[in-house]
Amino acid sequence: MIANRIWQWHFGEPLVSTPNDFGLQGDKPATPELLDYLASYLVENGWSLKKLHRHILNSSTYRMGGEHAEEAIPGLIDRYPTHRMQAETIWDSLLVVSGKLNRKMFGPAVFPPIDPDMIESRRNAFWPVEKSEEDWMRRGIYVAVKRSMPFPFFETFNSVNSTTSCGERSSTIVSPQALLMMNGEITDQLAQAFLDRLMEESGGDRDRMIERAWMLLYGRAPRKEERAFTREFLKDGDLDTWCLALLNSNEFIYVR
Amino acid sequence: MNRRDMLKRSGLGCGALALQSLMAETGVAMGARPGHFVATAKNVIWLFMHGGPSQMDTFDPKPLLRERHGKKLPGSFHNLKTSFTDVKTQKLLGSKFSFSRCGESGLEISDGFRHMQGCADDIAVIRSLHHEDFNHNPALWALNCGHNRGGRPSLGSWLSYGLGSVSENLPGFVVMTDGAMKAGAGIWGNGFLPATHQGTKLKETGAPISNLVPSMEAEKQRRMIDYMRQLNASHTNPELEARIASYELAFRMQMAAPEALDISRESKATRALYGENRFSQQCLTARRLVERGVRMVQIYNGCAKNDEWDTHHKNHSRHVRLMNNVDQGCTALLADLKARGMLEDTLVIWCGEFGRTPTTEKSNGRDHNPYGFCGWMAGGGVKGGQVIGETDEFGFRAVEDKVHLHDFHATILKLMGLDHQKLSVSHNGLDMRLTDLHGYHDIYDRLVG
Repeated sequence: MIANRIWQWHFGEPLVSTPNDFGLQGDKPATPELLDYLASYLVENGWSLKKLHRHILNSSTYRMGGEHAEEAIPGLIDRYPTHRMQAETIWDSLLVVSGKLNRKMFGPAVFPPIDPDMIESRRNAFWPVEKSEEDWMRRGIYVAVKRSMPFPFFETFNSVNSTTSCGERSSTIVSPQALLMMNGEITDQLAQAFLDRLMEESGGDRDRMIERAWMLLYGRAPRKEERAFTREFLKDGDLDTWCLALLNSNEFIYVR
Repeated sequence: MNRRDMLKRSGLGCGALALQSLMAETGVAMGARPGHFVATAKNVIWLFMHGGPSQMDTFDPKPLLRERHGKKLPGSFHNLKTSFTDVKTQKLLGSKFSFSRCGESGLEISDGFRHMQGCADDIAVIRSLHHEDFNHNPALWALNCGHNRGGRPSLGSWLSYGLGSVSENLPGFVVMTDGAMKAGAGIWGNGFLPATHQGTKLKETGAPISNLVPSMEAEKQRRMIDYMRQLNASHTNPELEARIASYELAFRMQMAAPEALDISRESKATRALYGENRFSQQCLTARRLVERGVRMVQIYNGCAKNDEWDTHHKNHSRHVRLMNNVDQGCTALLADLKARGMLEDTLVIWCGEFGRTPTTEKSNGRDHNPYGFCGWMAGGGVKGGQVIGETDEFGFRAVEDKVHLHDFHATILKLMGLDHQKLSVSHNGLDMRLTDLHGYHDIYDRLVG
C-alpha cells in the first residue's frame, strides 16, 4: 500500500485508485506487475522510502512529459499525468519563488495571518497570528491544523478536514481559489516579494527578468511568442500586476 | 478551437462524457440539474434560531404546564437527560405568554409574535421535531449535516451538489450570522463533497465575501486575466480550461455579489415592510439572493453571547426581546416573497438546533431540550395553517407524528425534488447520505396536502 501511496505523491494519481482500500473492497490496479515490482523493490532495499523515491524519480517514466499526440490508453503509462499541486505545495512554491521561505525546521505549529472576521465570528477561536513574517513564512506542513477552523488558503485548495481519513484529496477548480489568488493579501505580498527578487537578480533588465521569472516558475526558458506577448503586456510598466499574473498562471501550479 | 481539437491536444485524452464528469468532480459550476422527483421548491431560506428557542413560548401552547407551574415532573419523565439540570428536581415553568388563534385556520401562535400571527395561514408548524443531542455543537452539526460530529456535508452543500447552481455569478449557498457562533464553519461546510458546494459566509463587517474586493481596478484586472489566458494557451486540457473559466467567474462574481447584497437599491416601501434591524436586513438580503438564483440561504440569528435563544436565565424577558427582534423580518419575508410570486418556489424554514425544557433552570431559565421542539415551514409547496405532530402535556417530548431530524431532512430534500436515498456519494467505501441510514418517515404528504 505504501508503494501505491508513494507513486500517488509523485504522479498525482495512485496505481490503485482506492488507496485506503486494498483487496476485495478496493479497485484493481491497471498495472499489477508495476505495483508488485515497486513493493518488492521497497522490501528488498530494507524498506527504505528514500531509496524508493530516488528510484521512481530517476526513472524514465517519471521524466516523461505530459503531452502526447494520441489519446491515453487505460492501463498504459505513456505520459506524465498532468495534475494540480496540493495546497501545501502551492503554499511552499509561492514562498520559494518569492525568496521568502524560512527553511527553519521543527518546532511548534505556526499561525499565518487570516481574515480577522474568521476569528471574531467564532467563540473561543484561537489563532494567534505570528508577530513577524519570518515566523509564518515556513513550509506548509508547519501551519497549525484546527478542526474547527481550517486554514483558509489550504481549505480553498482542498486540504482535508482532518476529521475523517482521506486516501486521496480531491482537486477542484473553483472561483474562490481564483479570488484568493487574485485578491488575497498573502499572494499580493508574495507577488511583491517575487518582483523585488526578479529586479535584484536581473539588475532591472527586462529580458533578463523574463528569463529569470520563467526559470524560477516553470523551470524552462521562455518561448519566442511568450517573450513577445510579455513585452507587449509590460509596455506600460505594470510589473506588479505582471508578477501577480505569473503566480496565477496554470503552469505554475500544475505539474506536468 | 472545437472540442475535438481540444480533446486531441489534451494530455488526459478525455472523451466527451469524461469532460462532463470531470467538470462535475472538479466542481465547476454547471447549470441547474433536475432532481429525482418533481420539485415543489427550488430554493431554501432557513432562518436558524441559534441557541434553541422555547417551544412553549412560541408555537406550542401548554395550558397544563401553566396550571402545574411550580410543581415537579411526574416519574415518567425522570429518565430524560438534560444538559445542566436534573429533571427529577427542577420545577415546571409555565409560559408567561398568552397565545391567540390566528387566521382562518385558527393556528395558535404566541402573542410574542404579533406580526407572525398574520402569517398563520401561510405556515405549517411542526411541533414534534426531535433528536438525541442535548448540547449545542453536536446538535448544530446534526441539524445541519445529519450527524452529531463534524466532517459531513451540510444540507446546503448536498442541495448544491444534487441540483447544481442556478446562478452563474454567485455562490450556490450563502450564510449570514449575527455574532460569534458556537460551532465552526463546518456546519455549512462541504465535508467530503467538492469545495465548490460549501456555504459562503457573508462577513458582518467590511467586504461581505472574502477576497471579493478586487485588488486593482476592473480594467487592470481584465488585462491581467487576458495576459493569463495568453500564458495558459500553450498547454491546455479540460481541467486547465476549467481553471481559466473559474477566473472568468471570479471576475464576474466581484461585480455580481456587491449588487446582490446592496439593499439600498430596494424601494422605501420594501425597506419599511422589513424594518431596519439586522435580522430584517438579512431577510431582505436573502430574498435578493434567492431572486438571483442562490440555491440556499441560511441566516443564523441569536449567536452573540447575551443575545441568544439559549435562555438558561431570564427565559421570558429574553424571549420577549428575541421574538420581537425577528417578528417583523420573518413576516415581511413571507409577505414579500408572496407579493413577488416567489413563495411558491421558495421553502422558508424556521427552527433552532433544539428546544427548551418545560422545567426551570435556576429560577427562571429553561435548559436544552432535543426530545421535542418546534419549527415551521412555509412556501415551496407547503400548505399553511396546519399543525403537524404533538408533544406531551408539558411540551417535553415529541409524542405524536414524531419528526426526527433525519425525517426533517428527508422531507426538505423531497420538497426540493431529491430522493434522500439516491442523493449519495461514495466516501471511504460507504455510500454516504445526508440522512445516514434513516429518514423513512418524512412528512412530505402532510406538508403539501
